[in-house]
Amino acid sequence: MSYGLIRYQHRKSALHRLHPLTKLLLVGCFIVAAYIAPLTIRLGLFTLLVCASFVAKVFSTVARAAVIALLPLGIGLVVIRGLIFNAGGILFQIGPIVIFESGVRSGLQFFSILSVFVGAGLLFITVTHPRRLATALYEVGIPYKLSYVFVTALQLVPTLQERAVQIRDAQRSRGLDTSGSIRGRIRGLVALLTPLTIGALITTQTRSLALEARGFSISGPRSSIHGVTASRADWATRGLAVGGVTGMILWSVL
Amino acid sequence: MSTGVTESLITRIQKEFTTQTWVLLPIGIAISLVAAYAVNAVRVPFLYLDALGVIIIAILIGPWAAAVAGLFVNIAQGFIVNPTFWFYTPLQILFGLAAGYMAITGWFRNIQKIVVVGLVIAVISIVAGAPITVLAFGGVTGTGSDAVTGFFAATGANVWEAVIGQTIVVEPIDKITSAVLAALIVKRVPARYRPSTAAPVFSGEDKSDE
Amino acid sequence: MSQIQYEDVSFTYDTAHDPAIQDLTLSIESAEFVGVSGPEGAGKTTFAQMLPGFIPHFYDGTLRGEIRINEVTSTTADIATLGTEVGYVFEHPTQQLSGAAMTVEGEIAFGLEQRAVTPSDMETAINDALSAVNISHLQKRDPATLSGGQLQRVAIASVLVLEPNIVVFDQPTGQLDPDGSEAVFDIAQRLAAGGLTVIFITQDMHRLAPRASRLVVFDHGHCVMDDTPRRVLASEAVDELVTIPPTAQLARNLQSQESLSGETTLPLTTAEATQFCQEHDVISSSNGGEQSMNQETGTPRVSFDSVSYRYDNDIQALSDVSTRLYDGCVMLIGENGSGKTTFAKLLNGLLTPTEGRIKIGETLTESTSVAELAETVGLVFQDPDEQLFQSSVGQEIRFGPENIGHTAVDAQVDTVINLLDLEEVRDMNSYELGRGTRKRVAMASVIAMDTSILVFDEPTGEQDRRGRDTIGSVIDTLSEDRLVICITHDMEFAQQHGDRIIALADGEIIADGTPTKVFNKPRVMDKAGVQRPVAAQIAEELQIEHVTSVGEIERHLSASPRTD
Repeated sequence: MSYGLIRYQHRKSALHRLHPLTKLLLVGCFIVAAYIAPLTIRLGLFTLLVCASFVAKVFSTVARAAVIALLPLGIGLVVIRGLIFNAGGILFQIGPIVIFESGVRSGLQFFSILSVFVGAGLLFITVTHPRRLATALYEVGIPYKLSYVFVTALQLVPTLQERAVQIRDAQRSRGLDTSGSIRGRIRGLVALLTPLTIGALITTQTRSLALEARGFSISGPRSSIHGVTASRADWATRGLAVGGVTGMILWSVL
Repeated sequence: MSTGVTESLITRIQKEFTTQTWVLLPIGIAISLVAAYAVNAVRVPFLYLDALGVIIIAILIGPWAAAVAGLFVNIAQGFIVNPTFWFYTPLQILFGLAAGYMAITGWFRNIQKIVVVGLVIAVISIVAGAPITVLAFGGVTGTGSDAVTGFFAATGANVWEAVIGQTIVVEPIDKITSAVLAALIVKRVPARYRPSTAAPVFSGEDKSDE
Repeated sequence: MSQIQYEDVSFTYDTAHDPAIQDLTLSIESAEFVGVSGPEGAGKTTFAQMLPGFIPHFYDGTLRGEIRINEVTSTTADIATLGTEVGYVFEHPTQQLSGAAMTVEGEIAFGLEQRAVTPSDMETAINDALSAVNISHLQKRDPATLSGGQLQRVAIASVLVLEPNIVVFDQPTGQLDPDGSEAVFDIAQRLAAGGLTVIFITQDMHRLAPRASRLVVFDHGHCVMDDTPRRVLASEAVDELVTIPPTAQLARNLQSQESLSGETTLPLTTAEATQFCQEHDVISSSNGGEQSMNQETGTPRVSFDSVSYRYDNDIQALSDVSTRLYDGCVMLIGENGSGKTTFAKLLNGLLTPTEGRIKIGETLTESTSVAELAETVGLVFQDPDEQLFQSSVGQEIRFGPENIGHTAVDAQVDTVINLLDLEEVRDMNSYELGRGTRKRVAMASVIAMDTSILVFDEPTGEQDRRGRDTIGSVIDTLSEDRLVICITHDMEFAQQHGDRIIALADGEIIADGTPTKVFNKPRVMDKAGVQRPVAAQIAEELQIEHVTSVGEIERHLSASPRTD
């Protein structure tokens, strides 16, 4: 049972200390750059990510998650694009299945883009505290309740997953057989998901009352126990990132 | 036709976004993500059910809450499963709007109409999803559906044809099942816990569980 | 001027026919500790939820009469404003937390954040709240890693941080183990001593009565008794409505109602009960020797042979456990984490031993699927909401037998419905019913499978008096011809209905025998982290041997007190 690929990892590092919005901007810039930059720059960006994850002391976590996330994509890319008919050269052939060289090449190209994309995303997730991100977003105008939804959804997934396991055990103890006909399996899904949903609605009632009493619906500004401040390093990084991406866009357009 | 579509947008949004909605949204989002686990436990092919939570919220609350749910399902999926999900965010938002407006105009009243809802969502997924898969990801999703794409590619299709072919095979199965499951689950929610905004599901007929 | 005043209050939910509360007039003074009890559905929660404004602002219905807090009608203020005057603690620890906090202090800060309190101002308030509930050491912990008891204290702190003058506790210990429950009751007592008004709804009279200065009993929407706990529990009028604690029960059996109706007579704590008994002569101090277990022959229902179980994260839940179980009622006791739940899951194949073997009859669990074992072993987990999903109680009960291929299910369903007192609610949706009834529905749905082995996890949790009695007699009936295993924290229940007690500690069996034998070993009970039944404790003080029940103590004492 997995609690998801990766979660925020608390460390003391320069990367962790950066303002959440800086990190958001960086992820955005990396993703844009991944698509528009030429291969050499892309490989440079990837190396940059690897170094950054060492600086943030999260290399092994990110690397493990990256392999899990990228492997199916990589295999899929190479095989599928390779299978697509192309008048160019054939790489190899097994019986009726033909793999084309140009396809494999384009597959690898895409793979390099996705590696930068996924790598930046995973690094962002490991070094950004969700509550701080929510606070930072609130400070620039995102409504408080939206950020509540975001942070809570992340927290809830492992909790609900555990409950799903307990429900599965309880229903299996009543003889629910999850192998068998398709119709039987759909019945099984109803038996698993209905208690989950109803339980969620019951929780919702209690939680709504509790949060109302604690002031959730009060109109007016909010404060946060997590302070977020932007340092000079933040502004420098932001300038660099935006400058870099703008430069790349201009370069590719001209 | 109910007044659902003709009431003003502001009224609709006000009606939908109560404290209960804000509390339910994260749970609905989490259910979408956990449904994938449940599917694994039950082992049905080509079923992802990541729209399930969004459709449930669409029926229980309405299109705009479901749209917000859709927005966050994909963002959360990016955080928890794979960052590539972030690009599919517009899809889930559209699913939420479509399912929500169809719910309040009575499209969840019987099984045939629910299948249509599933098809509509599947069409959105195909039309909006295929370009994202082709242009941003070179034609792959990193899931079991790639086998279907591979099959089409091997039999002579180009990237677009292969991906569209794959979505035509996979999406209807996943989305119709999601819509039907959502309806069956909501049907079982007792009046006491059903929000006042809930749309009618299987109304009039006493459906035994399928 | 009373702090809280109810005047002719009636309330009917929109979703119900009958009023939940009728013509209630009641006043509560500042710093009182008011206990509230009564059967499920009597109106206790409705009564309490009027104080924070949940009724009528959140629940739709018809409200008549007036509720005043400090002379201000509560219906004019909104829930958020009332939140700084009235704190409300719900039953489920996790359900009342925001879900958005990554640390305990973040959770407690939530209410302050909504009111834009600055982080520096927050610090003192949070620290005060943390120490009021003794969890200062958990300040930076992630709530997801805490136990139920710890979480409930976080919930209390989250409410205290807004500095209310009134705190309502609504059955807050239903989900907790004995230690967690004790902690919550202690906190409530301290808060009242510190000047807060405490309203405490519970079924646990044993813990409530010594602490409350006043006990209000509800039935069918009316307040039927309102007096000091001693007077209320001495009265026969509440016999069907609340569970009389064993200390009080003993006194009531020994003396007449009149002699107990004085203010100071009815004993509530174990010490008081012992003193009470000491006024009677002990006429015999022995029970004629220990009863030993009947020697069992034939194939055991369950055999454990050197069974060990280790979880993936390397936690050793069971170590080298060997035992044979036969028909009758076996009570499995021990602390949380002693291995009880693991034991249960091993019985029906949800888990298979990492070492050793388990046989159900002649079948090895490791080579049989859960679905097959479900025909022989029925398992009911603690939380009924993990199972219930059909549209009516009747259909829910059919689900199990149909899954394992029974025909003629109707007759089975009827029998079970009668057995568990569910006829009135047969066609209702389980979730429209109270938690105690839902637990009985979950039990019914498994009992209907007619298995030769039944396992119940905390069957008496959250039950009102009638529910407890029903479940007790069901278990007695069932254990006549099959093996019934109950995992329980409720020692009184274990002593009353168990034929055999098995105590687990750290994954090993440390005691195994009749209730008389096991409960009279104080050191073993300590090691198991379990409180002995009250009667056993009193008997030890009185130096009467081999006795564990209230009834047995009575027989050893003279019928009337000494007259010196």
